[in-house]
Amino acid sequence: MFSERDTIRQVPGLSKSRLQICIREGWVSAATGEQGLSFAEIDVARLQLICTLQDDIGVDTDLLPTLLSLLDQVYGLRQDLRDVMRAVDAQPSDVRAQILLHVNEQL
Amino acid sequence: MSETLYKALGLSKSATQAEIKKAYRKLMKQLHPDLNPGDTAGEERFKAVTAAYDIIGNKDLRKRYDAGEIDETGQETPQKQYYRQYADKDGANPYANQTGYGDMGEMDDLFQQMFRNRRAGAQGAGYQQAAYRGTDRRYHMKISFLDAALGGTKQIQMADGANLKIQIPRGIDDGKTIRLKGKGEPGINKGPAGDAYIQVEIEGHPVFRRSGMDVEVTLPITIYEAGLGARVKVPTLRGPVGLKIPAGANNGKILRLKGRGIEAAAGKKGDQLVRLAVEMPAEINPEMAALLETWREKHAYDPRGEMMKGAANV
Repeated sequence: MFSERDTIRQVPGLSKSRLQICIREGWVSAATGEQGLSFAEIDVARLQLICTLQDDIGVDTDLLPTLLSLLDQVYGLRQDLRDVMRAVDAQPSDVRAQILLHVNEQL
Repeated sequence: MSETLYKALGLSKSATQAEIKKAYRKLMKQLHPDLNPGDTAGEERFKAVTAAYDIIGNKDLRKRYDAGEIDETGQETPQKQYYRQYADKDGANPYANQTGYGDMGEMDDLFQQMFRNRRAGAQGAGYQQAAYRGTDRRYHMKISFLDAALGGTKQIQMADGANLKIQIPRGIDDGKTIRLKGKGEPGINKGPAGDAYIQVEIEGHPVFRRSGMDVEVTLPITIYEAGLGARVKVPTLRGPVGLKIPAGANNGKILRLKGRGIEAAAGKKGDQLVRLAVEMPAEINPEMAALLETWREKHAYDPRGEMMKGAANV
């Protein structure tokens, strides 16, 4: 867990005002720690991604929320897909074969 | 002189600084691993591109690379961490959006049933007009090693100033999240309240260390306890217990106290691992020295023989 100051130090290109914008716009959600704002590793990595998208890739600020929302959907889908795959994997082999057959028929 | 780095960006040595930047941006858009989770080939390519740009994207480093002063790897660069490493961790991504199955017709029921437990309350906004579920709140909390191992309660102050009493489940591991249903922001128009997610960080302990469900301690023993064997007291999570040290126990030997480790809520019990650390007396007095000298005369041994042989063979 990172304090506000550690987070700013950790992410190249991040400043206090920029962090505040990210929180206000809802791009990153800070947690409440025992001493003020607190950030988990995923928050720090997300801030780093935001800075990379804006500074290195040149993503326009207007476009950023759309991009983040799509990414969150992709990762949400991947999580669901992993859960479904795990459930399929736990089935007996004949059931797995049935499912495979069915998926192939859809193509 | 090498052109490897230019090739990684699809350029030749004569490229201008602006062309390098342009090529880099274009490839970043295509290859950034956070935008292409799961594409390992693209990720390798991306790493090469980033590494190349770190050097030839910088005028000074580029000069030195062109002059052959530094190679493709240039200098030590700090390890880059990627969002996807955290975003793709099972159940650990609070940003993941998994509510978009409303348009899947008859499949919708199946999806809702499948993921109901995970997303209780997240659905329904579309049916009951303008009844929105409250936003989730996130908290970080430090808890002591013993509270984490044995369970306990802790209070945190919420954003609105109210205190929230939290039951710490016995055996909780570092980085895990406790979910308190309905303790987030209130809902809008009779929508359900959001949840509170409390991520815990476990503080270190001067005596105990944790390794999964096992607890490790290092136990200092005397040379006579090591040599002759002894019964000694060892601290455990639930108070001291007796431990038999076998005669001739070596430094670093690990003894296992079954069932004395972390006990999870489900009833699974870890062990306590006791690592012996033979401690010499504070002072080697003449009596001790004489004893060791007499002993050496008759029983000298070489603990490094195998080691020296092994090192020479490589």
